Amino acid sequence: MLTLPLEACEVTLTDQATELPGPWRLDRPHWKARRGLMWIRIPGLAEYTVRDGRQIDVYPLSSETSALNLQHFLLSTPLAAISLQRGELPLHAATLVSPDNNEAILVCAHSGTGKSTTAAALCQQGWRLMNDDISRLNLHEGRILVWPGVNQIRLWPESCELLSLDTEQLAFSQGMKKKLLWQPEADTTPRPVRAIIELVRPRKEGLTELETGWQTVNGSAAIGLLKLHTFRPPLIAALEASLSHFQISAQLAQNVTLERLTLSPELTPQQVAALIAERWI
Amino acid sequence: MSASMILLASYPKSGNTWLRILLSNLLYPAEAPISINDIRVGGFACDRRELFDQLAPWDASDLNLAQVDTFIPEVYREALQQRQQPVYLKTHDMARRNPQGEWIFPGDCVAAAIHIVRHPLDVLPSYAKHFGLSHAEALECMLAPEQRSSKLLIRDKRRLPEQHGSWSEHTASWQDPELPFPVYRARYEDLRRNPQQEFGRLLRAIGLNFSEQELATALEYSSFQALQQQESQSGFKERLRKSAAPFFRKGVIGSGRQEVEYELQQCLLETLATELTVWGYDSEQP
Repeated sequence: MLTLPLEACEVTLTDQATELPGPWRLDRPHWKARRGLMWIRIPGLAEYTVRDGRQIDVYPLSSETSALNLQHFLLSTPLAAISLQRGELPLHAATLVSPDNNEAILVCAHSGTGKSTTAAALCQQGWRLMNDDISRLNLHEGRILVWPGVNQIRLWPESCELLSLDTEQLAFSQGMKKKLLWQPEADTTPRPVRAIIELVRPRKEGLTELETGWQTVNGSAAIGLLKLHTFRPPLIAALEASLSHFQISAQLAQNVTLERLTLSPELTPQQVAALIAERWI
Repeated sequence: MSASMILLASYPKSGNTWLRILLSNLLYPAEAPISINDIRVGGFACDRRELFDQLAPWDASDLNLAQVDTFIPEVYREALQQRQQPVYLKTHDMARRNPQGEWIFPGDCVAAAIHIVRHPLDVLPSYAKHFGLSHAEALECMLAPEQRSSKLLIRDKRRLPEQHGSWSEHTASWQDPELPFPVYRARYEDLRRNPQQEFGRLLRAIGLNFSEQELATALEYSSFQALQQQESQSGFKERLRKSAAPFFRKGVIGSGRQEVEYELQQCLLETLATELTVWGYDSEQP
């Protein structure tokens, strides 16, 4: 059973490839998009066609493709595309809910920086998980809300070790990599966004105090940051979602605190989580 | 019209960083001597997941190596569309085709490649120190088919794994006559012995013309002693945490003969005998 954490969305498994004539605004061998339509292939595995914010057709390319693998990739770029088609902003971010005031904090970062590990460390300190990888934001009755999605965290085995998680008790996630799934306490209520934090971890060691710590991101820099961390930036223009994307970004830049936290490479996940909790509880 | 790439290719610990620093000193003379922590050339970010995840259709963390290779040519094309000037890409990857048969460095994206080869017996101790391995472990890696950086650099998830291959695979891959761009080759030893002449030749081949004096000044700023001094004063951000020695360690021709255990030397020299002949290393001691 293929499902998305969305209302009014139909996911259909099909045994026929979809014929889609051009022209396309995004036209690449494995990825095409225009207003209301995106087609994407993962070679040897499956093709996904995403239409009008309501419908996704999934076409397995091999009889050996498991339903779990199809579901795994469905929750990646197809989810981001359908979110953009609905006029939302799918941010490549984890969403955590504070144990004290029920406010949602989003943590975004470039891949490999430690977003999921930080999210897991916060959950170990009492925060609740709303999303691990893609956080859908939209304008709802004049406020920006973040919506609940997948409430599992995918962690590398080394991260589990840093977090003292018993890997024997964890299942492997789908996809091509040997990541493990950890299920912390979840939060399933849409919530206003309190803050968005960008984690940055420079490669250089021995950073000075001036080079690490918190930095507020305002105005056009904030809008740029939100575009950079949108899940699949090329889709914004390709799906002609630039206007709605900008409207949400501008609201966020105006009403929500955006901060960059530059980390010293030596910090443990627990120390990073403590820095965030200290500032935002 | 998008820009094109000039590849700076080598097996690890074969002089690539030296070449990047020299090019930085030549191309950015107002900033010379260039800080080793701000090398201006070769850092075109295609070895990083950040760029892949922004431009490719799927996250690299969801893909296996063959699938990543499938999307790499697209990523280069997209990244180059956003550039006006030629970019330099340092790579320790083997030149190879993806499962669809396309070169991962596509001909329409690459203007030329410089390929540096160093005697593997001198690479060995440097490689061992760099990756925090024993000489025996390093030799095993250098001879292992399909060797990749993620087996050695597992802590840095921000990088896409580079498929070095074995020393032999790597070196042969950059000699493939079907490569869709010109490759200009040099031996590290020749660059050390005759830097003015050899670097001059490589630079002219890729269309860069500098005076003798400009090249001499850049070579002085990029001398091994100058780089060692910078590293001892300010560290080097590209040095791995697990490294057992400074990044700019010795750079001496023939250090492998002194440092590597005799049995390991013999194993390496016998296993790579054919390649050593091809590169003219059979007639001289490293």
